[in-house]
Amino acid sequence: MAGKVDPRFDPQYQRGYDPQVHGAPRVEESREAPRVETPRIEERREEPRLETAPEVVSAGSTAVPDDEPARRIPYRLVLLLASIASVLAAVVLLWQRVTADPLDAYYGSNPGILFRQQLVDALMIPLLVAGLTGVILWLALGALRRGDDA
Amino acid sequence: MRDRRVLPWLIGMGALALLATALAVVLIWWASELQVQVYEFYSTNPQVVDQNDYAYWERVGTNAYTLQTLAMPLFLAALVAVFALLAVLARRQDAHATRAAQAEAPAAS
Repeated sequence: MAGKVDPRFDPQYQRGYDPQVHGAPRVEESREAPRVETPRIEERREEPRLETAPEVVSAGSTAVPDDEPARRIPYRLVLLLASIASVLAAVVLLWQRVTADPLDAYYGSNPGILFRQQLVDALMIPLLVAGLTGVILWLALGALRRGDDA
Repeated sequence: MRDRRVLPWLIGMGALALLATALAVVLIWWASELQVQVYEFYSTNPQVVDQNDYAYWERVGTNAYTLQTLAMPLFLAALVAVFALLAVLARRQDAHATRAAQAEAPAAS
């Protein structure tokens, strides 16, 4: 093997090869030319098949396995709890306002009491709307998270 | 680097929430002061003497109600800003966790 020339450099494999000009190919050596082993059809059929669909992995990233334990996102939990607390607080304030005796309503010149009453009145609707918005944000975060994992 | 770019926006949201809350509290305090003045006028003048005077104090009472109404959207803006701040922080935390999990995935496999 050491003294032999690589058969791939044989003239018959070169560009512009003409048997009449360069001579007939050497049959003996051409048979010795290395062949690329390709699996036969029977062998291809024996290839192991995937039991499940292959996981699609985007370029530059690796997919997170499904059996990974759920990640804990404290801020997301805080958002949900604060939103629910806001809605509950709004419902309680509204209920107190609706069921309050009109005859017991304060009517006087104490600015502190008036301030507290008006503060509660001004907070009811914002608490309700913002709480619902917070729940919507929490749901949107969940959707985005699922989108990232997919 | 990425934290430095986001931080001013987060600070802005928090500052806006505080500003809106402070403004709403000031408006409500102002409204309660106006209501006190209206109450004192009506308590010292149980009978209408001057129609113009009466109309003036009625207007003052309406202004107090308007100030209280103005405080509502300010409270709403403050609360939504706080919830949006929490949502942004949660989103960033989630993204960090996802990147960390993706970085660990090849090592585990």
